[in-house]
Amino acid sequence: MPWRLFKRGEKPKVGFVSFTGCQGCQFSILFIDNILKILKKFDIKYFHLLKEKNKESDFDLIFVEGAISTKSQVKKLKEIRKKSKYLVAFGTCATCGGIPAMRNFLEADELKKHVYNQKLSKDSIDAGPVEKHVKVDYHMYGCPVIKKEFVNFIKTFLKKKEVKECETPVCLECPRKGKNCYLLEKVPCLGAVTHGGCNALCIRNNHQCIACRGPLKTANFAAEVKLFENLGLSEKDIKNKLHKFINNEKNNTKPHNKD
Amino acid sequence: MKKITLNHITKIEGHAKLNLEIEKGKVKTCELSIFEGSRFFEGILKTQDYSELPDITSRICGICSIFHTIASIRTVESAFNIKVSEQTDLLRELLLIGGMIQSHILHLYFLVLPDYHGCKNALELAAKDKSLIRRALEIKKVSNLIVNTIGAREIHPISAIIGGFTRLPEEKELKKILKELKKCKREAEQTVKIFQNLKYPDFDFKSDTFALTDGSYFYSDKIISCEGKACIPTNDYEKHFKEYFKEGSTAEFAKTDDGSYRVGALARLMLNKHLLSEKSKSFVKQIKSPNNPFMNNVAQAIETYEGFEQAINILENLKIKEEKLPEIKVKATTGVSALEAPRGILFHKYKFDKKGKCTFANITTPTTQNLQNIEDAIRVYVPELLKQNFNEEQIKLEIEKLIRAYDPCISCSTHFLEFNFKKD
Repeated sequence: MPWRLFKRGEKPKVGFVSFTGCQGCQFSILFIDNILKILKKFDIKYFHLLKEKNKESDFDLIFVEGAISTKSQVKKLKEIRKKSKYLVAFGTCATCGGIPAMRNFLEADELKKHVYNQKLSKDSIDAGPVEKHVKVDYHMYGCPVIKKEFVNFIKTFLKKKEVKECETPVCLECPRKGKNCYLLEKVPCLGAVTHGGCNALCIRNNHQCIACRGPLKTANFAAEVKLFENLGLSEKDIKNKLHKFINNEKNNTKPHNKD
Repeated sequence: MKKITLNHITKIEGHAKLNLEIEKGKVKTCELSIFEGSRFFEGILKTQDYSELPDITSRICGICSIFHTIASIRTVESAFNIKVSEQTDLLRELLLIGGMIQSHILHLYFLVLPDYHGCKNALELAAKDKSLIRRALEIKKVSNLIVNTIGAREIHPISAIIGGFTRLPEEKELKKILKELKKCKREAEQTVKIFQNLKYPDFDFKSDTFALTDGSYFYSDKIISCEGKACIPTNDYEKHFKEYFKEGSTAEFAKTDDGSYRVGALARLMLNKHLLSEKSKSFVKQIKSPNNPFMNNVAQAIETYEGFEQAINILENLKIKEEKLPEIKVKATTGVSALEAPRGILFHKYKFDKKGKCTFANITTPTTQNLQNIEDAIRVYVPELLKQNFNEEQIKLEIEKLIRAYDPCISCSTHFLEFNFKKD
């Protein structure tokens, strides 16, 4: 591992910092049955949702939740990065921009209307992933993140081992794989272009993948768009479907610029 | 002049700060400002197909995603006049009860209780009193089980869709929930006792309170009631509850012509006593000061218990059968719906064109409605604290306790306004 880790017998200093999002990822981990036991293994320096005295000290491990949507957030993020040995982009907003980044695609006149009403602040920037501004050591995808992945990550981290990211699409984990693929049934499923690691939870519950774990770097978006066109979806509908979670500038996928 | 700033109010959902200026024992300025980055939800919903709305609005808030999902689904259904089965309604009610318990328990034990035990946070409290947190975790586990079984995920549910469910729970899954609920009901009752016995500040702050009242305790949507006033049909909500913006804050606020008002557990409990089980009714009788916002914590505890009662009741009579989802015929129309979320009434309103594309959306969250009341309460509360010679640190703690009693959910209330930071 490239960073100097916490000393033996010392509790790693950990922080949870949250930018623009719904905080569902933080809540997700609070829903873990033995979360307090897990947190006890750390020296929790920063966790606004849980404690009142929060210090931006040096962190061995920092979880960054939410998209970055203002200049002041960029500044704070950069300060935090400097102080942190290992940074986890925590959840889809942080890894890919997620739902907050949908606002980047608002039509100009629509935005103007909001501006007219409330004065668009100079502080505002296009909402985007953490990696647009600082280096990310681990991407924990998911809207929300998966509790099991978080627990596995913590266990591996405490053993000072490198944690592997899932680099395969949802399709590989799909129970409909090779049999009754949603696309064959004319259901617009995004599993093929989405980060796996969720065990195709939605599809197991008879719901098509909506790409909540964000775009896979290796995905063929042009092919997916073509497939959706063949299903009879309009250009606008396809854009809307993709922009929910697949709007990461970093990946150069930019479906909004493709057409 | 004394200036108190709470720069980042902790142990609440989201990012908020408070500016307070006190002059000669009187509050000169009291501004609750929200510095959550805005996400323009109402803007991004426009042009979306009706079928996309529940998945997007769920992401307004992590702690009440279930409520946004169901509100969104029901708004679409009301627009297109889609009738769902009784079974769907019962499963939705169960899901909402599970979500309500989840939210209340997390708030009560993790965010509120440490204050009253002189602990800084839940971790410290867990170290000090294991049995307290064990109880919380057990109740949390049951509520998670309900939400997971019915909705397929604890946050941002998957299987609840327009018209019904993509996956119905199996009988043995429901039996398991019922068993766990019965086993854990005693813990819920204990929770009521714990929160009844805390020493709350004595604070009389009378406000108008509103709650939905036409159906069952956790599942109403048509009529809004307020003590001593005429009922309001949900469809007319915008005429009565007016939203506005404040400079320096990214949140929306709301009030009626009579000023600020309160929604949430305490409002529901006082207005809807008649819909409660006998035991909960007897708990409510012990609330001697319903005007005290701190009693909201007791109300949340009672609702947790009531959730157990009602969920058990539903499950004992529920026989799951396979059903076909109703057909959806889109048209140019408007849909409005309301439901009781953990923090109070949640409104969704959409307009659609003839192809079923959203052309307008307005979402009024409980915290939007409570924010002005929180500010007003602080204005009245601070002079009382000054009279008792509280120092600055004590005042800060008391204000945070008061804010936390309302259980504000800041992400929810900041879906619209742009970030606009005001420097001191």
